[in-house]
Amino acid sequence: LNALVVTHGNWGRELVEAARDVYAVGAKVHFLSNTDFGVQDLAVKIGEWLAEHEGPAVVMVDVGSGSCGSASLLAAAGRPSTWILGGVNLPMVLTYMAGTALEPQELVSKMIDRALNAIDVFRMPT
Amino acid sequence: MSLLMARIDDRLIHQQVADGCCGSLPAKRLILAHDAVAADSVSRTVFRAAGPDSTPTEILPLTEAVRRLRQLDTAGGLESTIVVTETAEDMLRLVEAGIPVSTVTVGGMHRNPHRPDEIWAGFFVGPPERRALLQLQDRGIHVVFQTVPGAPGRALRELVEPPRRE
Repeated sequence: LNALVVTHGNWGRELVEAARDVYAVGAKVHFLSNTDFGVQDLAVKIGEWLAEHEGPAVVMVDVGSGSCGSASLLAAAGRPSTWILGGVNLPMVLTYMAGTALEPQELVSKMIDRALNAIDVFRMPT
Repeated sequence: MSLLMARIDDRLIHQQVADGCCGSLPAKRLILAHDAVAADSVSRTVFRAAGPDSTPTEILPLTEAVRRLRQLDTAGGLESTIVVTETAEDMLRLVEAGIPVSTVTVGGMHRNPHRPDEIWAGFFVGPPERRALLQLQDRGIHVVFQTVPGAPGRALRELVEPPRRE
């Protein structure tokens, strides 16, 4: 399963680098920023990445209904075994990096599960 | 009455439009006027899904958009309508077709090979778009670069000197 993170600005790059700091060895995650791109040009860039990386792919974006999500959906239209996940966070990326031995569908489900469960309210025990 | 907002944005419908514009202005409808998107079912689905939950989104080719906007003008619905085009040229076509517009907001014009010149703070233009923006201004329309309502903005007339006429 190939992986690409697409975000606004440079925080996706920092996210990927932080994940690499946590897992010094782990599957490679590519990064693309939407800075300087309209949605059609961004879709072309993502399409080029998908063409360079044959086989199943997961594209993790920050805002699913934003330009990163729309461009990813346009680029992946009709391409089998390509998942677009919104709301990328560190647990999602870490789960990918640690889990590439899993079947793609199973790994994607696990990434969603971990990312969602990371959003919670934590309280000190009283 | 003129449009609530006439926006040029090469990201079409996204967070700034859905939340930043439709969420902060009294919009009752959002119209994306775009020939290629309107002609493609995948693109229509993607950009309709990117639209705001609270405001119905219509995706129409330019000629249909003109028809729809004339209809709204007659019915008194323009002042609650936000229109988005990808380019300044498309916005100029709407204006040339008689759609009343008092202000054009350039919300997003990103760098590409056809837009090499940064006009202001991340907004890029090429010669055809610069011409189209100046033509809009020549028609008495206020052209402003601003990502969302309330954000810092800059008027075209502050950034570009109009071509000198002999």
